[in-house]
Amino acid sequence: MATNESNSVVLELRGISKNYSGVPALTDVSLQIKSGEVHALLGENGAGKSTLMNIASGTTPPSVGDLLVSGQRYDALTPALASQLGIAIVHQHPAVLKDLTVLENLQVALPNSIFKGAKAEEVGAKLLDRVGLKISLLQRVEDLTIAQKHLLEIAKALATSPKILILDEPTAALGQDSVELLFKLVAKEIANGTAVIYITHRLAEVRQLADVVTVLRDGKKMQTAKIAEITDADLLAQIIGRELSSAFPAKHKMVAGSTPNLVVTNISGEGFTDVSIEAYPGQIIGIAGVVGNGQSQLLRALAGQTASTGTISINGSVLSAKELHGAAALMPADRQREGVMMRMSVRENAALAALKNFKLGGLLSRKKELAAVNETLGSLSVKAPSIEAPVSSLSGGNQQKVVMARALLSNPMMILADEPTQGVDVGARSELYEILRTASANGIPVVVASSDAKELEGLCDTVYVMSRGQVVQTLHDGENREEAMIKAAVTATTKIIRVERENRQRALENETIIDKGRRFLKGDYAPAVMLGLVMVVLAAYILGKNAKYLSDFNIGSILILVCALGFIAIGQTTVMMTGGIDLSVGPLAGLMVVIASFFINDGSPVLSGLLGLATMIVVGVVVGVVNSSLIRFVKFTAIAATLTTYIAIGGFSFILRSAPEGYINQDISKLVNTKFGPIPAMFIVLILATVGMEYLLRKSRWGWQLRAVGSNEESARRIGVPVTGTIIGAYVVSSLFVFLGAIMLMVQIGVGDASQGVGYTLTSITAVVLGGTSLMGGRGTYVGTMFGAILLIQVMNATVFLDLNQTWQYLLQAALILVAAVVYSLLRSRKNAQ
Amino acid sequence: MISHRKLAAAFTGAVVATVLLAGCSNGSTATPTDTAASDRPSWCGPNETTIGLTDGYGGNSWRLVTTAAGKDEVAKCSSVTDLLYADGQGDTQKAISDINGMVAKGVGAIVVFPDSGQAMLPALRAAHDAGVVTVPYRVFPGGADGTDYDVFVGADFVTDGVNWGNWIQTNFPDGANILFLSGPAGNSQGVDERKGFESVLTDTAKYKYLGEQPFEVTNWDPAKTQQVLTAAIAKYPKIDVIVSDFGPSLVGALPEFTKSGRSIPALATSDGNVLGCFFKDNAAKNPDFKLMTVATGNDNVRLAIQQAVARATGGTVPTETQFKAPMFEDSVSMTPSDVQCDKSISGDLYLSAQMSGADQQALLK
Repeated sequence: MATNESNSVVLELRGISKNYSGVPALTDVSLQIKSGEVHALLGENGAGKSTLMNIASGTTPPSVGDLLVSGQRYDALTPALASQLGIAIVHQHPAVLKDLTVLENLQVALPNSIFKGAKAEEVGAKLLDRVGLKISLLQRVEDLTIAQKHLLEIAKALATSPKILILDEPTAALGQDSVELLFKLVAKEIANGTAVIYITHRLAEVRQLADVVTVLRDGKKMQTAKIAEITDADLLAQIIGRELSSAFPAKHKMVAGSTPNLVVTNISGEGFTDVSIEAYPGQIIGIAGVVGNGQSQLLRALAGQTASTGTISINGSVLSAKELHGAAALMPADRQREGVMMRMSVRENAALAALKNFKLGGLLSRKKELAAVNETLGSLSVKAPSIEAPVSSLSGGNQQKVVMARALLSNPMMILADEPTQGVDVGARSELYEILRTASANGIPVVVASSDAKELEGLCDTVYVMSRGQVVQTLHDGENREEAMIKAAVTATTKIIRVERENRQRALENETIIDKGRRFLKGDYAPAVMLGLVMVVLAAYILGKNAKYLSDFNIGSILILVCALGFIAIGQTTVMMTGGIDLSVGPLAGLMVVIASFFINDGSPVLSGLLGLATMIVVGVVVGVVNSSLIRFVKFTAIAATLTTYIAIGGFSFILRSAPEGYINQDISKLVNTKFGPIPAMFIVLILATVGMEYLLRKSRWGWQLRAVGSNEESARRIGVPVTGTIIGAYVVSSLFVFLGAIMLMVQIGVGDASQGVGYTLTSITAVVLGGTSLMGGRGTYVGTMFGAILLIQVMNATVFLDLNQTWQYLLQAALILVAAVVYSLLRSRKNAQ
Repeated sequence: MISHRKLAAAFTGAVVATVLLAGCSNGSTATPTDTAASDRPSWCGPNETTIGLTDGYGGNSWRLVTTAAGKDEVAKCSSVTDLLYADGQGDTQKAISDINGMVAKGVGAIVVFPDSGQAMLPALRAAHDAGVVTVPYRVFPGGADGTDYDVFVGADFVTDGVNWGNWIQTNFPDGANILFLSGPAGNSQGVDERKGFESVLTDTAKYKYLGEQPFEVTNWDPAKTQQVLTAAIAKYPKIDVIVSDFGPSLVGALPEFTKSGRSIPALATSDGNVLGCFFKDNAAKNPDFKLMTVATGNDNVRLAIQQAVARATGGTVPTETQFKAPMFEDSVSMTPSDVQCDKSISGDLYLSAQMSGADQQALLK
């Protein structure tokens, strides 16, 4: 992949600066990206690489400077515009949506043209196959491993055959086999003339892949050079601003006659079997292997976080999982999810595990805490604006140092580091290695799992290579070369992966009823089915007591009451899918009936009736827009915004009708109440609306975007979802369904009464929650909501039919909600083990 | 292991619901006492039927006493084989659902306290159309007798007003400053009461009305009543009579007179045990404190039940369709009775009801 001088410049960043509240993240950076060329971007964590790429991909606008894309000048891009212009980005933290399935993630992020002319499943399968991702398209992304999420992110980026492909540390979480596959894919793209910007910490990868390299330091461009014309030493010097004596600290020298301080004998647990480890004081133990072969599970078991059989002894005493838990410090691989509390400060994150050391009486000594935290953070040279800054404002490497600080502050019995340098820059890496080495020299057993064989070679004294949960080879100092590890891992894996694949295939073919049931229970439709069962059981019970339960009159009157609640709850579901809530639905329904009571009376002309309906719709749209504008533009929370409108609408209704007045036209009432046998016509409309909305939710871009926004607003924005528009739309849709509900309420109460309708706010939320839609947004079903609405009305009716004491009305509802909440959260509790 | 736990949890929903339903008995069913045919009231006909009684909001002691009065009345007629009761719990949709449910269950007649007023009319109409004898009472639901329901048994609030007016004229022949308190703005009960006492106190030179007209708005809320009364005490140096259609709600505010060094004035209002006891405790210290009450109307439901049962069982339909609250206490004339106070029962109860104080007290348990 020699650079060709004639390659054209496809992207040019000119004089880009970016400030975050006055602090410069980038200063006057210019960059030219040419087609058919891999342009590596190097720099320490916090050097500004990710910020620069966020500007290039439209996620962040620059403070100063502009962009030229294929010769066209732009002040700033948006994610949608960038993707139109053929810029695709693989984010360091994948912009995938955990509540959506793999296929839906592809569909919401990619233009329709990709799926044109073929079945979506086939296109999706092809895209996954391209990056070697072997997972079901229908799997929820939440259940994927980090590596799988990264591969999915890459699959999305490659799908559009982009002109410019930005890869932000794509290999950080990947195992060796995936990395090789990725490189092949990149090579293919280059051959097609794609320009690639490649951000990495691994110099070896730069040598292997890049044509041109640019180094950033502290937000400034140091140099752009052809890779062939610059040495590793020069690059390192530019990256960290000083010469590195050696990346790795000196290894431990065995002391004759010493006894092991860590002896692990035949431990087995979920994901690994029969592992034995022996470490002498001062030794660092490495765990090698392709990602996902039991390394993380092993570390977790060693930390006492999961159950295992076998014995673990430190300094001669055998320790149970309970004793290890908290005493052994584990630095998890998934920093974002498990390693740090993003919203807490640097100090809090660092001090969390060691609070007992700062005790003064029953309280914490702030002084002791600050002294210890400051010293440790200082010794790790954590770069943070302040010790009280939220951890989320730190770069990846600095976050990892905070995790390290927490481990050290807790005076651990053992240190277990899972991928400790993932996403950490070269300078910080060598500092982390030094810290681990010092801890080890102090007699604390240190175990490091890493997918970077080079790192294990340099850092560790003894390396255990794992494959399929077993140690396939033990490499002692001198023999633990990178090649040896890869060979051991890869030769073992080829066979094993095949076996696993066959097993999985067989498992799929012979899926037992229990397996199917389990998969179903985790799915979205389980709540609806459970509600259905409860409804049938309840109906059967009542029918046993009173045969008139299924009389036409009863069915008809139950279903007509369901209609008002059902329509309003559909609207509520739409809003909740975005992670919002609409408290104004009840009063809005009341207001619409009050409005109708001025227009739709006995003897009023048709035109007046139509005008009334139009007014109701307009009011609904206005309320929806006001609700969402308060949320998006005035930055109210959904509860505050819709509570404001709730109160305002209620007041407005009373201004219009201070006392109940204005009877609704009886012919209209009869029309709305039309029944086919026992089934009201409007109930059929409700069913159709439910099914229609459900279809849109699953199969249309609108539905994917709705759930994407609820699942993770930031990720949704990065993949080009118009977040504000989607949310405004959701609140307007909610208000329009309230309109349908108001029509039902109108004939139900038959008069303009300002005090009516308010109760629908709470009942609609209850119906939605019963139906299994998450209050956090991102997942749920309209079908479940409708079942929830029917069940609520059925319970109401049951108290009369069973002649229950009125207390039961409350008890039954409370029991239903409680049981639903417990069952649903149990079903959703995802297993940590991956 | 995990999966078993999950499956078990999944079934809990269905099981809990079933157990809850199976575990409860028919708590609110009245057992009609067997009455000999000889003392069968004329409104109790020969045809057997079941009766439904529904409240829009049944959560206070007045409603408990009223419901018990309704059951007591039903028990006088052996033709009624069952009485169902449902409480709308302040939720209009539940109140509608209750009526629908009773109609579906096949009651012969339904007696409804339509708290939501006109909003209940379509449900009443539907019950009537389904052939069920439908009798709303106390709160007017709009509509008309015979077309939207069988008959509305209202309370005759004009009569209450007339009774108050007569008493005021007797005790203040030379005129008085009158403060009138009623419920929500524009409520028809207050308007009717005003009509009643204005028809008696025709000499507008002698009888002056203080404050907001036609009445001070209290929403029948004791807290609001206290605010309104406190303000009025400060504003008007001379208040001779307070007229109120919810006597017990005055008790919290009356000590304001004593605090400002004035005597509690005369009250023309509705009864309540707490008010009677307050009078007994304070009359001696307040020379101007006189009390006259009309019955608060727990027995309004009895007439409604009679109307409903008569139609459903083929009995003689009472000609009376309006409940006229009888005079109850008068601290001046002692007729029909002196002021009553029973400290052995709750202040929340109503001694004007046919049911005894002890029986009412038993309902609260």
